[in-house]
Amino acid sequence: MTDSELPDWDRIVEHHAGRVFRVAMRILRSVQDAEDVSQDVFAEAFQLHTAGPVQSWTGLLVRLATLRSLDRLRRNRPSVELREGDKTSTVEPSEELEARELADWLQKAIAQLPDQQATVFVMHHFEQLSRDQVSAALGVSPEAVSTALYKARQRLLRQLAVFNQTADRE
Amino acid sequence: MNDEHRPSDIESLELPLEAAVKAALAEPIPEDAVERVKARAKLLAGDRSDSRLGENGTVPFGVAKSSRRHRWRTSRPLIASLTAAAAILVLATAAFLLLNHSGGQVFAQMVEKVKAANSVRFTMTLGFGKQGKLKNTMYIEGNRMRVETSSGEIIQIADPDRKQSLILNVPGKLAEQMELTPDVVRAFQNPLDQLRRAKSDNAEPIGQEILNGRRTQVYRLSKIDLPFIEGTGKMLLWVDVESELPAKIEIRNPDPKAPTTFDFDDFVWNEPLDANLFSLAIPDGYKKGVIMTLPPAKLAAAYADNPNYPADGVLSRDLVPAQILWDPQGRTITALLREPESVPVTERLGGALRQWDAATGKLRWSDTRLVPREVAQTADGKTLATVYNFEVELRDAATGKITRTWAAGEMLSQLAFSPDGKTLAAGIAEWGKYGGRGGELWGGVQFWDVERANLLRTVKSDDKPVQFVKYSVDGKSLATSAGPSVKLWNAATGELVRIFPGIYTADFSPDGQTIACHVASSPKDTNVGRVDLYNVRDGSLVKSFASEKGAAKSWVTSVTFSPDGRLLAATDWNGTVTLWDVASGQRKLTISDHKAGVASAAFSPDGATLATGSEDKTLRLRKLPAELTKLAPKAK
Repeated sequence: MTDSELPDWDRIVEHHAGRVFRVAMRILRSVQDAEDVSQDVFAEAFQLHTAGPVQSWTGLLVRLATLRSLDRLRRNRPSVELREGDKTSTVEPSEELEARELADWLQKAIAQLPDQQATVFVMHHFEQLSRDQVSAALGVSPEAVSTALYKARQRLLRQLAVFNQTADRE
Repeated sequence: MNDEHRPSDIESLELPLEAAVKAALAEPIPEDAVERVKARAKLLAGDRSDSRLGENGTVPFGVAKSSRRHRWRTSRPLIASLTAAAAILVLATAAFLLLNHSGGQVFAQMVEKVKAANSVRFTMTLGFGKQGKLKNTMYIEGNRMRVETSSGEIIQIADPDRKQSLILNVPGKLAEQMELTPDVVRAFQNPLDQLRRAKSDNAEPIGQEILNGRRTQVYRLSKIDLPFIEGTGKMLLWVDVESELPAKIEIRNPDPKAPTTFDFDDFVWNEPLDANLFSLAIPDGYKKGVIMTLPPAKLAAAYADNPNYPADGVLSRDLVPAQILWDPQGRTITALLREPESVPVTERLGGALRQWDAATGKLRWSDTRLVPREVAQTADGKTLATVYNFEVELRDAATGKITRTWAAGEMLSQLAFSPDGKTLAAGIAEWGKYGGRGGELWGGVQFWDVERANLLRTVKSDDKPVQFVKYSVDGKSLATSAGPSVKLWNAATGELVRIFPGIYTADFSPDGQTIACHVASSPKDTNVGRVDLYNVRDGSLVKSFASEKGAAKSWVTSVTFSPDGRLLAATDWNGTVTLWDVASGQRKLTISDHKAGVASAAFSPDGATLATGSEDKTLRLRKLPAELTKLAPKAK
């Protein structure tokens, strides 16, 4: 009875693996770390999957990917070695240094956000999900999403101001 | 690879922040890493059957756990099986636990006697929170067991050695043979293995009691740790001093989330049991079928009415049927089920799309993955469309299998197939930036070419999500509603034709001349309970229908014409379904047996049966009184 009710796991993996990895990669910026976290996320999701129906796979997986990536980021210093070889950036070369600095900064700043704000920020700005999509995926009201986004942005902007000041002084 | 759509309404970021996000997004994603993630993740499903078991391979006793989801989704036969297993476990646990403690001598003997017992008969009362009690009589001989509900209506016989069980519905003379799953068999075979994990820090004799004229020693055990009772359960055990066998067991799990009680009583040990009690053969006069769970009081009546056709009862009782669809031949019923509104949004676990055989009540297929939003059916009944997240899915109605999906690009609410099945209209459930107060149009309708999954047209019509979409009978017009108005569109051109003062629900009469709308001035206007009938062509009011309690709080959730157009049914949030005679405007029937708001209703294609779905989590089928259906002879 239950087997036929289980959504096809392979299909879920096929559909969402890219997104899970992408979220982890954006936050951790290390292929190795992102792979590890992606695997953890799918293991966790599979347990939930077997325990009962999952309402929103996108929501569940993006949320897990964000939270587990943040956990890892906060626990370890992120490994940076793998970024050296990757030069296929779409950003103009002259801006590249600044861009990388900014990306470094954003990574650290997101890690300091509260979980909910970080998740909403990542889903909306990294994964380009609309407010309603985020709301549906996380099971919170669209207003709560907007509030979290606003707070996240305010916090990041404040930190960015500090970051720029420090950078200017150097 | 990334087939997710990219909505354009991502909120803009302050400039320096945008640069940072851009920089982060610019970093490349190695595709080979994604493939590695996929490969590893797929391995997880390698052994699915075992992974569903609990740790240490214990059987997941979903029945008694605090999870609401498990309990509701457990079918009645399964409950019987599991209670049987639970009974053995409890008996043996009692013995085992006591063995290790003071007064061990007495208990050692009891354990031996329990183990050596040939047969036992006892009653078992299980209480699950507020859901009432399940009282059964149980017979065990060797490994075989028989469970009878107290009323004797449902009997289950299980033989773990043969992995077979038989379920009998006595009033309906129906028999269903089922194979016992390995999980259940394992529980039957070796309960003691599981008991080794059970712990008790204190089992204390608390006195003696005369029970049914027999002297018994009473023991209290706390901190029970059984597979099906976690943590703080309390257990009392009465042991007959003379026979040294258990006489009564009480288990209380006071978990406020799911108070559970198990009472075992009226033990009769080692009395020879009739071998026929455990016979797995279908008794004479019984037909093979699927055992439905009808409410006891109505069970006999339902079958007395028509012994061959149990289409008068409860098809489903675990989720709210938000939408009900009959196939055009009246052979199957498909329902989209969701959790009740009373469950907080954050705790909703999902819903299901299910299809039953209308004649037997047998579940044909079920998909519980569904985020319940909307289901639509083509006029020939062969294809279903559902919304899953931001995708439209087409299904084969016969099997429930998904045949095609495509991304809709916007959050969808309602679906409707054009009568020729070539176009799918989908309501857009997007809210504007300012909670819909921005004046910008967000809600509307997408028209999809079903054959090619092509978006034919998008009509933006409202600053709120569209809550209702329905094609006219000829397929030329489409009615939508996003607030206190029902808009009629030219389905071919997307032109607004007419506006009717209805809200969220409407139905075209089968002749296509009129449209019935629930009339209310706003979503908060709960005092009306009125359905108005308008002429589609000129918009004039033809007739008003008022429900029984005109002044009582009322909110019509759906209106439906009978297939011949003579009757009009309105489901109401106040728990009633009202049927009017359309020609005379007279109220003919008020159905009020649902215990909570009624969400949906659907006439069978022959008009004789009405299916209704309610917040009380039941999907009921009821034959309409003969005078109503006679009064409404087939028009076509």
